[in-house]
Amino acid sequence: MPTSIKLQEKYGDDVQVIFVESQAHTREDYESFAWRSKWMGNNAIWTDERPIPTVGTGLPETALIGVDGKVIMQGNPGSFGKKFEAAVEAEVKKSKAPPEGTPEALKPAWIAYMKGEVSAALAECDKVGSDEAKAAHEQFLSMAKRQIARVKWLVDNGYPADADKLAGELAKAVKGTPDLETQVAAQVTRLAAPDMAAEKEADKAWANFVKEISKKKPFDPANVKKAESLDKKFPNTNAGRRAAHLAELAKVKNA
Amino acid sequence: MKTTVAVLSTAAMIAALVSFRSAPSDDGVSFKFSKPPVNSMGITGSDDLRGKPIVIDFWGTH
Repeated sequence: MPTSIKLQEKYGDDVQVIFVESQAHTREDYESFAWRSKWMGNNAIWTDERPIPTVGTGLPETALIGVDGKVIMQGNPGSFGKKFEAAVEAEVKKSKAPPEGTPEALKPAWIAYMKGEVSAALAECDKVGSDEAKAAHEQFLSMAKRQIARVKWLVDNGYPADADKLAGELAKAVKGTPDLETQVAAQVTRLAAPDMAAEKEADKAWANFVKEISKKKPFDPANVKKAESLDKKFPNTNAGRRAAHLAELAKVKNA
Repeated sequence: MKTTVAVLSTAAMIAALVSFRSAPSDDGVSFKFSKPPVNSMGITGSDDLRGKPIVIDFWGTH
């Protein structure tokens, strides 16, 4: 198993692993390959678009982007040894503290934000009132809005369980900030609508199925059959379509 | 298949989605995917990952 998968599974949402297929294969090809290799069932994402340019002449190549958005390490992973994993651990630690250089007066705002208390963080900024505090205020608002946009995406794309969880956290986080409260409430209302019931049931069944098969021969004929029956059981749902897609991926012959 | 292969201790996956975290300067790398990656769960680019360490693994299926 690649180190990157192990890092993703070790750190969960604290790290984002992006696999970039760099040999011009199709999306179906690399997605099928990842399932077949038992690398799915975690938060890693898979693309063929390079977020940053490569620096070497061949594969593999790994890069670490730190919490400040700057590339910390990049190159052949064989040359990094344990330094790479140590650097990831250090960045995870940094991500749980206010950004380096944060003025003392603004640290309570950052601490509140990182505890998931967006409204309290905004209030702390207002209390300080400096230009830096105004900038932090805007930053917290922007980040909260991105989280709300993510809830919307999750609802739109048939991940109601994840949407529910995130919306619940956000509802508490933004309590006392009317504009944000309204935006979160809109998604909560969508999630509670009767027409979401089928999506919820399908999403739950799909999540259980992925948990069951991702590390155990996902494309075993019995699992493919289960995927096809999930699609039939939950017609016209996003999760049903995901199950049908998995059955199709099983037909892809990876070289 | 050419990817990093090393040994780490096994740990459970944390499936949390909520990420209120430190998010410093804007002068780092910036990217936006033109189409959603597989398993993107709503991540559209670097703006959604502010303050989070990112590991990029360039690999190939052959």
